[in-house]
Amino acid sequence: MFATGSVWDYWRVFVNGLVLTVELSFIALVLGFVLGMVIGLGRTYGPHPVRLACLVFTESFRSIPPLLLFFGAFYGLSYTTGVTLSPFQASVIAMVLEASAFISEVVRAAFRSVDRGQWDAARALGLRFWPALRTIIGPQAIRVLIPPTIGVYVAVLKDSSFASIVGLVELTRAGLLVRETVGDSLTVFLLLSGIYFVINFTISSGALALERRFRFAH
Amino acid sequence: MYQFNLHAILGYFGQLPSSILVTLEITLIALGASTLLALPIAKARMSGSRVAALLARAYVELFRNIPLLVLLYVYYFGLAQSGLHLSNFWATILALTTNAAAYGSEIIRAGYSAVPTGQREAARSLGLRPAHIELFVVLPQVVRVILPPFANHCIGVLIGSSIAAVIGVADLSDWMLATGSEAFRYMESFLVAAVIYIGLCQGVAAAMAALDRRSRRGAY
Repeated sequence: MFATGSVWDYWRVFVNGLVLTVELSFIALVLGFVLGMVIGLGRTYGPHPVRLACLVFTESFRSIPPLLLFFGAFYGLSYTTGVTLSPFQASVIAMVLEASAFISEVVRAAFRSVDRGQWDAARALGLRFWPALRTIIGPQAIRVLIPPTIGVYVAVLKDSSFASIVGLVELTRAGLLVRETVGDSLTVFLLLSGIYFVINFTISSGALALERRFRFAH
Repeated sequence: MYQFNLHAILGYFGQLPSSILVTLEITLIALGASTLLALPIAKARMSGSRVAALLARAYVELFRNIPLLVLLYVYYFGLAQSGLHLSNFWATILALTTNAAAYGSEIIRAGYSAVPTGQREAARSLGLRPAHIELFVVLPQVVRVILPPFANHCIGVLIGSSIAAVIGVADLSDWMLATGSEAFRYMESFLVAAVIYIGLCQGVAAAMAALDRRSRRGAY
């Protein structure tokens, strides 16, 4: 293979890719959290048809491989709607669908973990459903919810590597491009592994520390 | 205006069964191999040896935090450069196996720690041999505990197997990529493949739930 320079000459490409990876996964997490919260609450407290719809959503998007979601969002949606989505927009859509399915599960487990007596107490105080959810149940559920949500963020960040197949130059695609120029596959992919590892390990270690803190905060 | 038309990709349906079989084949081989690898890793983490426990923990953290796709590129392109040429099929198996072993060992470890120490002590006081204690007293209880998380693990491996398509293994995801780009029917091919993946996952979940019920029969 025609080779020019070493992998390290292209450090800027990796940095730019990394910035896009973190940006993309963060946007997906925030939007996925909002959607996941709605679906998780719908599945826990909604009337029967709403529960069923939310269950189908969660089960579906949990079972579709990320590769398919990126493909469907980029090529599928563009052809069907006639609206040309940028690789970034399509990736956000794919990742939000995936993240919200996972987060809805986390939300459901968190809200169900709050003791039933809390609902009874809220009713005894004269609170209706929404005020009780917002002021009594919600704050207790949020505490349970934060550590696994960070776990979801790590999963989303890893799966953002599939954005490379729709042509978005995030970290993985940046590596593939450098590989094409330099030809040193082993160094490029070991470097990618190292970067992903450091970021994800830092985030999940932080989540563990946070979990310990919250456990003792009762 | 775009017209949704499944008939347009009807001609590609003939390749569906074989591509589904490839997906299942990859999933089963990776599940089996990763479970065999996960057992010693879990044992090492629980062992008294500090070095073994540290090495096992390093393995788990390393392979849990690297994206599956990047791992695949390391094995398929990276190793080829250093002279080890893996076929695309076996590179996929290796990536899935090393990744799933990390998650699997955590599940097994949680299973072992759920068995009360009193069970071992009781078995020993009954005069059972160490190998028999492991096999007939501890293991059945471990299996019972880990079945529900293992079901989710199986689904994770099934979903992960779609990386195969990226390096051209003719699995279900590859069927979607090929059909989409040949017939220009991206949405149709996506929906067909998605529905099959959802069906496969539901099938795995149902099978594991049945196994779980069976394992509880006569317990307690």
